[in-house]
Amino acid sequence: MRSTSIGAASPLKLWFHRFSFVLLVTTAFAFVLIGRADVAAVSKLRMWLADLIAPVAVAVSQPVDATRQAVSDVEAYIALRSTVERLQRENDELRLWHSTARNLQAENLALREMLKMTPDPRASFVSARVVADSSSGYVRGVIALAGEAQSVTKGQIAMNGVGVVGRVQEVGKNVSRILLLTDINSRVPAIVERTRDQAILAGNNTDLPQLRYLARDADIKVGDRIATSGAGGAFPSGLPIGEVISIENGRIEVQPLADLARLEVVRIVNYRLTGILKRELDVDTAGGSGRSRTSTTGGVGAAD
Amino acid sequence: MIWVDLGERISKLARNSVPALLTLLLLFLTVMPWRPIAAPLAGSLVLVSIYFWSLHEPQAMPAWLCGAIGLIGDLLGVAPLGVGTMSALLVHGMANIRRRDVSRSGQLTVWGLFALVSLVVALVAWILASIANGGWVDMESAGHQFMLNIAAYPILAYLFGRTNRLLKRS
Repeated sequence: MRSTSIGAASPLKLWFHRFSFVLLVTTAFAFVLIGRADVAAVSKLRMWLADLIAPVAVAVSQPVDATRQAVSDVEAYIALRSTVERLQRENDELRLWHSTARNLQAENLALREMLKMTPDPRASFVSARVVADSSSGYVRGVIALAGEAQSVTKGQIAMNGVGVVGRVQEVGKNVSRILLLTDINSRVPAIVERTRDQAILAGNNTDLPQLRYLARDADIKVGDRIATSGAGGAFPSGLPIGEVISIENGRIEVQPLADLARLEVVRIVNYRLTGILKRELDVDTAGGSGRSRTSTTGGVGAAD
Repeated sequence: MIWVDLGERISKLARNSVPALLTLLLLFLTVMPWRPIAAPLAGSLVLVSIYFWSLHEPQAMPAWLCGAIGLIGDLLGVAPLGVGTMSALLVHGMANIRRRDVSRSGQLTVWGLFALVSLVVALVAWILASIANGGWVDMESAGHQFMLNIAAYPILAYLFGRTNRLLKRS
């Protein structure tokens, strides 16, 4: 640089520089403590920035999205034949399941009728595009393009086509931050599907969350499926989470069903478990408005 | 005469803002949903950029700007609040230790020094993240960050060097 401004620095200037640097470092440390205290203003500021940045993130990702689309199109074309074969096989299998499911549903309904059981709360959902994935070594989370304006609230569950992804942690006007299952702060009441043993699925910032607080006599095996347990009332029960992939010295690792590193669209599900919404406002949002909102959030169609 | 001066000023301003814009762009790239690079790399690109520009073009990368970029990263959720800010500031601060001697030395030396800086930053970030989480976090993350920093440096430094030469010529 031909700049002359960095020529001879006077001692005063140097002192000022050092002082301001120390001040900045102190401020950064203060931020750590403020963040620890979980101040509402910080959350607000964070979501305000996320709201501001979301359009930029969308714009930046456009060329990448286009390229990716083109590549996957070519790949899909090449794999067409084997894909068709695979789908046909799957279709046969699913038909069988379909008829089984119908039988079970009818049976279930009849049994429920006999028991006079209250039906499960109906769910509504918003499909939202993931615009930023802020996962790093220290945090696992994504920012999705749906917020207060789409009646997303804190604590709601985010899923994708295959399983639970995480939970809404912070909500902005048009964006929300979703804490993934793998984050160190994520705790999800879970159940082992086969044995009905209760436990807590705890994230640890690695790709594999751990199953903790499982009863000592619990019989758990590699390959067991884990679902939400509904304990605590924050999650509805029976939502698929993942599969146990390793058990070592009491350390049980679970592979989430959803590919958390490649989230593109999430469904933010509102099961109204906490009864926040008033009954008189309780319009049926299960299908219609969930989908219509989708178009306003720029989300992609619901993957049902 | 005034116009010439103004034009020169504008071009200088533009040149000076390139490093910051480039760093912000890298930050955005690291938070893109379907990134080709793995999660722990988020942050590495930004830290390398801050180190490079603090070392070679300090007037374009003042301390407050480093802090601001780190803070934006934190607010975007890349790291617990303050951790990214502190990392960015530390990288900047350490890049300024005997800056002129370092910036004139060979590429390999600079790389080695950056590895040292990364080690310190990874340790501090690990301690701060533990404070923010209210309990020790896995050291693995810090280790990954450290190794990725070192791996990312030569490629990015090469690209930045080309950019810098281009800027100086313009």
